[in-house]
Amino acid sequence: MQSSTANRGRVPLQPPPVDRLPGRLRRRIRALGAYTGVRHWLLVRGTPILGALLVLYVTNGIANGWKTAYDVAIGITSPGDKAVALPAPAWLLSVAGWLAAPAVFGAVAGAVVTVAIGGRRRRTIAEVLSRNGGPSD
Amino acid sequence: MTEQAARTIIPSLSDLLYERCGYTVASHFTPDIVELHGGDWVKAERHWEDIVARVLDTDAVDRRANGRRAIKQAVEAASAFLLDDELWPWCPICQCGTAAEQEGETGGR
Repeated sequence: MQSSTANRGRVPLQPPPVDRLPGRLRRRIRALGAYTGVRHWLLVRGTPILGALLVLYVTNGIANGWKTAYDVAIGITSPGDKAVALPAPAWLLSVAGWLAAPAVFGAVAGAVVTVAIGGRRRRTIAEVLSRNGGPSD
Repeated sequence: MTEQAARTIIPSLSDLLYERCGYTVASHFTPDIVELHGGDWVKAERHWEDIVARVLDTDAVDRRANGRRAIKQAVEAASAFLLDDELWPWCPICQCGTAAEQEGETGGR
């Protein structure tokens, strides 16, 4: 048979759909597990928390003024103060300023210290003294 | 190593068809897993990405491997694990090709 000879060695399937940007982006995001240490933590946990903080801060900046937003975020002004026009978002920002921001920066500092302490004497001598110049990655 | 394998991105199933994709994967891996999902490339691709993302958080990947080296280890470990099994082809995400799927079809009996 002509067609079976021509198709020998081919994949017996429909061709795959075209690789588009959303798919590539999704594969990029799903590959975040490839990172380790601070970089992984920052990308997977830190970025969403910082994003949420930023949204709260900007909302307060627009609603209550930027100076008030800053003062509330770092606890100089109470969210119940007379200077705060809209107390509801100010309360959220105040709580976030107490809990989320120290968590993010504290965790980054902790991770940096852990890497500095735990990352020593893990490599093999062959990795350090290689012929082809440096680690293989 | 190709440009594709040089970036920190999960390779698509269709990339793994090629000998020089930068990953050591059996040539029949992609056709088998797509065939298993009824020829649905999109579904097979999603499940493949899920598998690699899960394997990235296992001891199959070196603790200190970062970025593309981690991806390479996860891709090769995942395909080797799935292939080195008498059940092959099967999918750990949708359980197709396994005994669990057949049980589901007959209402768990």
